[in-house]
Amino acid sequence: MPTVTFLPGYRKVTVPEGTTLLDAARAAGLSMNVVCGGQGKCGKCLVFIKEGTVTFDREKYRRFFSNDEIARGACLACQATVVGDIQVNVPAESLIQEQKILVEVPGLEGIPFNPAVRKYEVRLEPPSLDDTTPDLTRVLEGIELQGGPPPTSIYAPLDVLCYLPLVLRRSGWHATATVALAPVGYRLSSVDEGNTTGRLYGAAVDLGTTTVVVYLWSLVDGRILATASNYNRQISCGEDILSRVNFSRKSGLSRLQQLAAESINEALTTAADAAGIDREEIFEVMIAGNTVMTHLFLGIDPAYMIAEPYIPVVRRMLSTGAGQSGIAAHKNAEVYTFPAVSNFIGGDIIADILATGMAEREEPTLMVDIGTNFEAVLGNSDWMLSCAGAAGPALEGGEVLFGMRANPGAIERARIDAETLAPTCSTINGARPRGICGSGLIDLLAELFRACVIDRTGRINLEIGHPRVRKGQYYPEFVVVWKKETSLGKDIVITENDIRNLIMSKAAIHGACMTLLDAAGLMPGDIGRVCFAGAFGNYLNKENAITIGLIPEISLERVENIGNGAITGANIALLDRKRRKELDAIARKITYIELNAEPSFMDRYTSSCFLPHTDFTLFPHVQQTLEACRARQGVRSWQA
Amino acid sequence: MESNDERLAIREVRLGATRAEGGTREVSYAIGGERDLPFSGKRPERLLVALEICDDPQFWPPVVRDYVGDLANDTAEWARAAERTYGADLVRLNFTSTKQRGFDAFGAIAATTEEVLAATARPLIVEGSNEPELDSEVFRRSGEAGEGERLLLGTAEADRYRSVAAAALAYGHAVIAQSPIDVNLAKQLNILLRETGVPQDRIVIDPYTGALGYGFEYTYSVMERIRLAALAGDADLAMPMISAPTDTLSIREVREAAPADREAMAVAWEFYTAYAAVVAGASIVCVRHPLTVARLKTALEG
Amino acid sequence: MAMKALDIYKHLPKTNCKKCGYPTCLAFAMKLAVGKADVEACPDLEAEARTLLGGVTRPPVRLVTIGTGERSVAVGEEFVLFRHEKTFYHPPGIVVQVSDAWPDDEVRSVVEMVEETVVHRVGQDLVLNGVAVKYESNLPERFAEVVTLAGGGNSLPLALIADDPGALEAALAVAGHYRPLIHAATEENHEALAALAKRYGCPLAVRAADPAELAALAGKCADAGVPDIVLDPAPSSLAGFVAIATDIRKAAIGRTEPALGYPLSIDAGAFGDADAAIAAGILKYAGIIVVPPLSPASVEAALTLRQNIYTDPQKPIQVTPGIYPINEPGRNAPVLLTVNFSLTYFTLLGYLEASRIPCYLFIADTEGLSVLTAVAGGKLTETLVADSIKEFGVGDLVDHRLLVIPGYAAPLSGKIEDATGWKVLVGPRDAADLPGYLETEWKT
Repeated sequence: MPTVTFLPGYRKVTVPEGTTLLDAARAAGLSMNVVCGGQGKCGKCLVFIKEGTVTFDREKYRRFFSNDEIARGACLACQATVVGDIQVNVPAESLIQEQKILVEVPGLEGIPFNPAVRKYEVRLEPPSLDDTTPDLTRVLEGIELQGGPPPTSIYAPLDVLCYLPLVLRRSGWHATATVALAPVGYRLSSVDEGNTTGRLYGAAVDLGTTTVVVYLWSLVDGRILATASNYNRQISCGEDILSRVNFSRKSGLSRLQQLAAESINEALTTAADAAGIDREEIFEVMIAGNTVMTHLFLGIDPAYMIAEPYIPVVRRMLSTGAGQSGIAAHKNAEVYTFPAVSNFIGGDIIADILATGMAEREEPTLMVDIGTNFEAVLGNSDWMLSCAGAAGPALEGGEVLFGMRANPGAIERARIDAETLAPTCSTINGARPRGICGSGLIDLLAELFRACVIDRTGRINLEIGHPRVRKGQYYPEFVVVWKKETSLGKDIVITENDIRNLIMSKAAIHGACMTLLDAAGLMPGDIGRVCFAGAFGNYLNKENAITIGLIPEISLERVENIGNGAITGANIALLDRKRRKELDAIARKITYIELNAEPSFMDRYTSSCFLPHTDFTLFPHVQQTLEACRARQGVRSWQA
Repeated sequence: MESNDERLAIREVRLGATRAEGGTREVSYAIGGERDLPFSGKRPERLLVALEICDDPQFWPPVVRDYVGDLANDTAEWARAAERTYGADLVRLNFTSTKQRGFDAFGAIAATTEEVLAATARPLIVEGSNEPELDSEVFRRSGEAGEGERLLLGTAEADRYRSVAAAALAYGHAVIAQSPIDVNLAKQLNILLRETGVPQDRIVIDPYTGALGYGFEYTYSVMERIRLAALAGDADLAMPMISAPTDTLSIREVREAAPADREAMAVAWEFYTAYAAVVAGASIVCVRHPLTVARLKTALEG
Repeated sequence: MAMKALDIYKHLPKTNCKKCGYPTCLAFAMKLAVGKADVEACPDLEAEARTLLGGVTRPPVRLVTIGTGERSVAVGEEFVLFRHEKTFYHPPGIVVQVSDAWPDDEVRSVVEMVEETVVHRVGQDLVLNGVAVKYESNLPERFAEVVTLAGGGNSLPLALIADDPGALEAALAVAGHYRPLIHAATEENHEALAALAKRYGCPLAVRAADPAELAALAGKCADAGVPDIVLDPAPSSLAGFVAIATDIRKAAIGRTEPALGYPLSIDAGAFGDADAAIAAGILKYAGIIVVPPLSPASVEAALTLRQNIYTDPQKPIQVTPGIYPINEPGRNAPVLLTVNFSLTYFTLLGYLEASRIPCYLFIADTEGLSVLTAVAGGKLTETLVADSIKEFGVGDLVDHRLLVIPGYAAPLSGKIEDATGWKVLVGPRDAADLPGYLETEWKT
């Protein structure tokens, strides 16, 4: 059998002829970046053949390679198959990089600890002819004596009854009962020998379209134990939501359900291993996902959600047993899924709302969750309005020439000296730059605007006459990092087209925010706070976000970044059963506005396709700062 | 509704220059200055009707070519007739010759501009090539030839406004700012022009006029919104408007009309579109059929 | 003035019971705020709130119907001063005037013209609405005779234009049961005319040159038991009509003078250029436009303008999705993707027809949204394009597999290629640049 050697690490593996390089790499322990799931569609698993040959139709995938890359023997690992011994060069970009994930999630400190599942250590009198109380009653009475719920309110599943007599007798009538709050009453989830009260765990899960994040908690004392994340393995069935639904329609629903559970289990296992706990002692799992993800995870047909009139099967909070939903926890663990408002406003957004605490406040909060799609919610304890739309992937680094997700090497912050036009960039993990992520793009857009490199429509002024401002191959561009300072071997630029895409993304979001405000009859000044959730993690420069007009202008101290609100919300619902109970009520309270049916949206969108906005009076502070900037540069007065 | 607050008025733009003003025109016009909705409050000095002519009639509607006959081959004579025979307040000269493949006869641009200026004593509107590669040269030549005459140069668009702006600034002309039927885009372009240095009293807004039956209702509402924004104090929209229903003569109703009815249809369609544009707030309407000029003049005076 | 959604919401029960047909009380409040729902739809409203909310949602301009049956015309019930604020609802009735001093043949030919004129545009049949008979003979029986000649109101709605109560009484004896418009009551004759209008249950026009007098006169007629009134401001010039009509509509919308909350009428024949007067009437709030017999070109232009202005600006006219051949395309002609927003379609059509480039216009159903908005709002998607290609059989029409997409849809280019298997070419953003683009870039 041929031997494949992966460089630069010299990892060797022997595989049968006809194996794809992707499978060979997996066998060698390398995690290749296969966004499309190995279908030759994303071009991310680029490798170079150093020695030897493979079977690969280079012409078919020509569009993924530059001439230079072709010359170096480029091919896609997922499509190339092994014919003999070879050496393969794997560039760092083709490997999955650890996503930047926050363990310090803001807002977690203050969560009241009031879990819905508890353990009771019971020491029972053995039965006798004088005391013929059945085993179950004996345990339940013991629970009540320990301050637990009354026996009549506790339901005992059959499987517990089957092993109950053995456990009680083997343990000498000293056992620990796990009791969980069920939708109605309580459930006796488990009875174990001896005292296990120190080991009771729960998991909060953000089931995203692209990634799955798991937080593992001790439900004994409310400590966080570990976190883990990985890609949602459904990606192999389609990158975005729509293609997953289409896959499901072609009788792929059970496969998607299985992949969702596997993705969660993988992260759960990683976290449990890291924390050194047994997954069998996880008794509660709280899952926040968008409506389609939730449907798919539960094995419910999502097909009716993607075509008019866009109807989900269910929107209330659901609970199933872990055994039933395939989650690798105790088989009687309760697995909860967040309620939804509509197909567009799902459990992830309800979780965001929980994370912001907006449903408990009187002042209105505007919450914006930004990804490829965006969702916005405006409201307070009394009312809530929501809408959703497509922002385009620009703010996540998509559709931008050097855009990338928030992985190591991504430029996440940038400044540009207005005099010299020299940028100062910092990257995630301090690695050599290889692309720009969402927060870096927002910084660059704001800084280019302040430095008068672009006009208010985002067009680059080529008359500036500076080596960083140049015509570019297809579009005018600005050089952010010179070739020699990158890890790519080419200049990192931002093009006029990138800027245009960014402006279109920010305009969709701002337009949606203004539509909500208008529907409620509020002005930007009436908003108590703006909360960001999603794509930017914790690194968004709030001032720059306002400078480019991503959100309505309000004072900076009223802008909060809640990061991954879905996981924060899931954490809160896991730890505090009181707020979990409010979720359905919040979801029912939300009024959904269909932007496409809202005639003013088109108008607001167009007026937002300008920096920061066509109506400068909506951005008085930005106007002042820009005037000051321009005056400093001796540019003709801003307001002629 | 009428207000005395200067900030709530449409800015006045002066077109054409008399000898006293440094040009050679018999009259110059001040457009704008309104402080209320069209036809309400202080009426403008006059509403202007321009006849459009061109320097290469192969790109001109047949229904007009049929009517003007040989005039179409003599741009200067056509301009003279526009004023003397048809009664137009101004002439709008379109350099359709630039649509020829590989056009490079820039010398003719200057010459035609001069001839037309000599043939008519009224202020002149000059329309460029609509080709970014040609525009800067076309505007430079015609702008230079008309220096001192306060021409109205068209058209600046968001994608290409620098060359028109440069010619207007260099030779003292005004600019038509055209945006595709959208109040926000109109405002954005005016801001871009302002930030390039074009004074606000040298900008005339062209909201782009869709033909009646082919999207005119959008134009109508955008014009009303521009006027309302101006009256509410939005300085970036407080410019007079020009409307040119240029698409009107190439619509199906006119093209496919029976030969005997074509002229009546062309005039009716131009007339309704242009008159409605005036009701929406246009200060200048530009038409192509000479008969429409006469009818509009009567209607606007009545 | 109008209440904001949250203010209305405060008066609602906040039960989210859905009995009104909306999913939440706030959703109902939002519809109420823009006049798109009726307060009565909420069964649980307190009487006080019902009155309060009802007061701000009742139409400020009364709906008046002229004629009966299929061809009757209802005008008024408008809510805004400018169509972009919401929409204009009831297009003005255009009634063609004949005189009882004319010979019968002449009257008959005009009536026939009104009956038969139909202009088909964008899926609608546009018609003239009725006949106005003017009393000029000074012979009441001749007036009645010509009214009969004009169909007596049975087929076409009528306007009876006379100041003389006797003549009107004769005409009403013929046509009174078909709700003709009695035109017009003045300071002098209003008592007699109001009595006639009341007796026959007909709408009544009132005429006065001053808006205050007009309001007073309308008030008197209303008090006399005539609910359906039309206002004729008798302007001395066309500019004057626009100014007065604007003032009257403002007073009605602002609810400052309820007696001006009626539709207007204008006599287009009274001005130098009837076409200009028709246009002014359509644009500026006329409910009834009396016109002299018009040329076919004028009729077509007038009906088209009326259709344009009374299109709901918030619901753009949609073009039927499909594949449209332009300039007789062959099997190598380019296929140009666009949306079914009518303005986009018309603009493209104009440039493409003028360019004489044979091509197929491939219109996807974005529910009337423009390219920009359809991309931003997620209505234009690769799935839609792929499904539409199949549905319209685009592949059967051409031998190539190249699709030109609008410049603003560039973000979707890769996805469309994946979903359709067609190679995507990103066209220009501006329709005007399309012919030039096709000339330089199109090669199969």
